[in-house]
Amino acid sequence: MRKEVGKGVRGWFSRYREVSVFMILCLEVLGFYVLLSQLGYERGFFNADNFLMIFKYTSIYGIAAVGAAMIIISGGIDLAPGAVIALTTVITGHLFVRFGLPLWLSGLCGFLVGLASGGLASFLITVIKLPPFIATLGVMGVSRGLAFIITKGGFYDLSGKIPDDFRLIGIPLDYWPGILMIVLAIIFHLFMVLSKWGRQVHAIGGNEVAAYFSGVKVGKIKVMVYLIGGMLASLSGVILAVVQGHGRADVATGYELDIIAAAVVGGASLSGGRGSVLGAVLGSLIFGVLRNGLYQIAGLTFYERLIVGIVVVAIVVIDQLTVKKEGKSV
Amino acid sequence: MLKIEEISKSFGATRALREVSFEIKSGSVHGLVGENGAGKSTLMKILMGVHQPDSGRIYLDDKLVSIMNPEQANQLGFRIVFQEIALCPNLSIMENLFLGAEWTRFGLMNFREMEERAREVLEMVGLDFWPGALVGELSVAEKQMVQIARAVLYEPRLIIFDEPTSALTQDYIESLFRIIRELHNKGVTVLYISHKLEEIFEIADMVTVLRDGGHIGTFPVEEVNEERLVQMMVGRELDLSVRRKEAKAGEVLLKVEGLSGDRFEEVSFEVRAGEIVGVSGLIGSGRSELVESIFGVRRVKSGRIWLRGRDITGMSISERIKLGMALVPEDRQISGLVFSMVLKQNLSLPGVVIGNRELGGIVVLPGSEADFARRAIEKLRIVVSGIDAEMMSLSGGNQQKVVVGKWLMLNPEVFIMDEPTRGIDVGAKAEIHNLIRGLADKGNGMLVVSSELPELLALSDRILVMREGRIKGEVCGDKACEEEIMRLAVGGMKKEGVNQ
Repeated sequence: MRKEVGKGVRGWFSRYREVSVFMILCLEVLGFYVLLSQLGYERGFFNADNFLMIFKYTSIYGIAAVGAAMIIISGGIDLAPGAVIALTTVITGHLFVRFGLPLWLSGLCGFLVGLASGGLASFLITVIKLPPFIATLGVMGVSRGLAFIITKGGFYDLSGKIPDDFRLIGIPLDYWPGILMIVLAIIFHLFMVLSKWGRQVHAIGGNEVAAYFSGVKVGKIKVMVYLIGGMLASLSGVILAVVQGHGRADVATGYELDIIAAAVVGGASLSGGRGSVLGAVLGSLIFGVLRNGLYQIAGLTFYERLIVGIVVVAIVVIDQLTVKKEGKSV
Repeated sequence: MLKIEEISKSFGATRALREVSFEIKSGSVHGLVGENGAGKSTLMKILMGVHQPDSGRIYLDDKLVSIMNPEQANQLGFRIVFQEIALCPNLSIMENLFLGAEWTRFGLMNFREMEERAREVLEMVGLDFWPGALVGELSVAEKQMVQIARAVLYEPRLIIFDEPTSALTQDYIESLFRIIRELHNKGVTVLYISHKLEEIFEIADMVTVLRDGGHIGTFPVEEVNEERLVQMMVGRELDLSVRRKEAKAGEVLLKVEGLSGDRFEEVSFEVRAGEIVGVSGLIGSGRSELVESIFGVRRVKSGRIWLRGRDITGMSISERIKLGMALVPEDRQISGLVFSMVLKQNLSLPGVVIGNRELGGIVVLPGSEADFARRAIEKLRIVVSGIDAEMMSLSGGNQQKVVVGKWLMLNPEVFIMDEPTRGIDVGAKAEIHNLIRGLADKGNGMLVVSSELPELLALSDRILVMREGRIKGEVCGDKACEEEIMRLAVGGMKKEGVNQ
């Protein structure tokens, strides 16, 4: 007799990781609200403007985390997003500021960086058969290096050239990053959960040999995953360039690890096969809220990395403990 | 020597052992049989100190002992050879043998003496290797022999063998039996667990049958026969040796001509509708490589493959699946199942890949998938808690049924099965045999690879015998052909072509 796993409220938590990550996010917001009102800062946190800001800055991680989650589910890893984001801001800035191309065209060209980096990574992984860690480490170096070569230590200031009341399809620029993040999260989450390609990504991450024996075109699916990962990273880059208003080679340093951390907090297993796109975006929001909240408390700025580190470990440890309990019933 | 008294053990609601009592005589070779889930593994783990019994006692030489952990079991002189390979491939044979108990002198590794002892035991198990050779470079059978050497190394009082032959080639099985006899002569007690009853009759003095956690009986082997053992194991009558009535072979479904590839050459044969064609040969004869190449998993160097008259030689695996081909691979753990996915997702995987309409096509509809999985579970009588069951929670037999089921639902016309019943219990084995016969009766072409000759003889209409990558002959599937098959498989000289 096996115990029925996955029934009832606890089942919801264990089966839908997104639910528990969302709960953590809500508790976090509530916690900051209480903490900040005790300290007398509440007006800076719990309001629409601040939430808009959280979404705006989180989207830079969050959109890249969508791709990272897919790559991790496929059993791979991507170390390139931070560098791809930087190179994208540089290309976009260069074309917009130096060549005077329209913003949309500059952004589109920046977007091509992701296509190229994703293409290079998938070539190294599927054709040359390098481990993803090494392949994307290489792509990271190349991207960051190109960004420095193009800027020669300088940076492009886009903000001066973008009018303050710039709108796209009638929606103010500040709203776009958050909207894009949410829409992409939902689209790719459904893609991973419901489409046949998404299922094949899960199968490859779980057992590549068995997937291959079942007819999965392992190479093609991996190429698709790294291309999507690269494109989403460069979309983050375009957003960073437009929203923060500059193209620099040294932005987004270390983001790749924050992005991986967000995916892991959102339920991704680094051994592949398990994970959630929605979870990864919610994980990014957890870190976004954390940074935003800590930033508002005077004197805590230097504690940010420390606290982020502890939170990653704590959430994953709690998850492991619950998984172990579930597993024992067999 | 070893007396087990009223041992009970439960895991949650599962009662793995119910008041099991029997005695293992000193210096005997004691067989332990039972279906998967009968409690063999649990009993073994209790003896090795991995689990503690809920109640009951163990006496060693009339002294009550409690075995709290594996270390204590080792101190009592108990050793176990597991079915799965549990060696470090990156270390040498010698390092693996002494792992965790290295011989030292002044705190440094005493390589000279370890190597000497390693050579001794390697010689004893019949492994002609330098002790410094890397374990990763050995074949599965050779690795298993290293595990056996590891157990022998410490001169134990009791050795437990858990399904030791499932990974062994014929000649290593012979040397295993020789080792067991040698141990027996030295007065070592052997507890031998196996699904293969012939082995029990070959090697054991006594045999104990377990069923559903209960002790059915312990007998001297002379007093029982295979039929009776099977009956006690499954609790019902079961005949594994029924032959299929002569079937009429229909049109040619699969045709292979002059196929050469990795480890096989110039292979030609046909499989017709309604036929079961067996493929025999020693491990390493190129059987698995051949069928995997036919399915498109491996590349072929030359030759052609036709499916229903259509040339599929250059096609991808998924195209072959769409055209009605299926392969149950040799090793379900490595190439059959995805353990991070739940039962229903494993069952639907090939269907999802080819965009099967019943599952919804491009979008995998949850309702259709659940329905698909339920039908497969029902069809194959897979024993599970539900369609969302974790694969790890299934027994070997049920896992194998899942590997068969994921193809069965797509109604393949040419169904290739590589070792379809390896390591599963008799009940599940009989069910899979019936399924194979049923599929052939419906007009499908079946190609079955097996290391177990009795299985092939019971199933096949005709048997292709492979040696060194070539088909050495084709024989009828009759019992009378057994010797002919062995002669063709082994060739003039025995043992050639197994150990390169």
